[in-house]
Amino acid sequence: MSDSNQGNECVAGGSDGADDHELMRRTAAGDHAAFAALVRRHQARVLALAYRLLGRWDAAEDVGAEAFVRVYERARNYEPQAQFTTWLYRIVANLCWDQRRRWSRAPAPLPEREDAGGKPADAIERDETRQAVRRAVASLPDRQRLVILLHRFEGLDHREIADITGWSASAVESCLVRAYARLRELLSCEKSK
Amino acid sequence: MRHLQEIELIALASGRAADDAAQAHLEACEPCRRRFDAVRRTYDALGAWTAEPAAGELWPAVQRRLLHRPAFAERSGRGRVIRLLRVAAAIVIGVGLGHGAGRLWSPARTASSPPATDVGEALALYALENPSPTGLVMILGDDPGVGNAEGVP
Repeated sequence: MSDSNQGNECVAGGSDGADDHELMRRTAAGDHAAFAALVRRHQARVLALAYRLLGRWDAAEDVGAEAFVRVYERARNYEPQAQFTTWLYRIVANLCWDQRRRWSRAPAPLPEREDAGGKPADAIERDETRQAVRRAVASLPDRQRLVILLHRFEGLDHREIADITGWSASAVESCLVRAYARLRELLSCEKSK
Repeated sequence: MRHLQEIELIALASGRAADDAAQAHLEACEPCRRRFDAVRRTYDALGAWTAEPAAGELWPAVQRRLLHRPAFAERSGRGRVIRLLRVAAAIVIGVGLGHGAGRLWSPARTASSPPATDVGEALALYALENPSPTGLVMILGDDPGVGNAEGVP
């Protein structure tokens, strides 16, 4: 997933090359094609973020679909002050917190594990590295996990992350520093195993 | 000489810091370079976690959910039609009920209700229609010699 493809950039194959704000304006006016274009433009990033936060594709798809439904419902009140993705990621993050809260009350489903059977040695090694990273990120506290995912995988800086989370920039900064330090420890432990 | 802060090293590792001074410091300062290498190793290691969505398209799932939401029906024009149909149905039901009630109630009302306007008149009419052995007609009659109990020897 590319870190450069974010914000209101026009993506080839979008609705007439319209930016996100324009698509939202048309969605509010009842243009379903514009809304479909908006969903297609951002679905991969929304799914990836939800998956990394929740650890399950089925839950990520559920959250992703619900996030876009919320976008549709609020399209009429949408004001293009910041990037569209800032608002979208905030909705996704909130839905993921809600999901995790529900799981904390009921027995949480186990994270999915990919089967490495029948793969060549280098592919198995890549899988193991991926699993190690996944375990390390999953072991972070919720806030640290969110800032790491938004920073490393969504390519956002600490000010943008502050806009999404509603935390202060300095709080995000210290969260990010602690998260990277913790991951450094965890990943070096994994390597030494 | 000010060493680079951890957040600056993270920004440099992610390639989002366009600060020439920080870059220059990094080249000149061995301790900062070692710290930077550690941050970059962590940053690069995280890149191993690729996430390829199992479901390519979210749109069908979004559409399915929207069909059950009022906002979708409203914006798609279906809401207006549904509202009109509801109003029309309410009018038809109201008129039908009114008509049915009218037919059911009006014959009974004419049969049982006296056209009288006060209770005394109504009782008199009732007594005239239904002669009573108890002398109710006499009691209500105008002639005191006939109707008054005191006139009876």
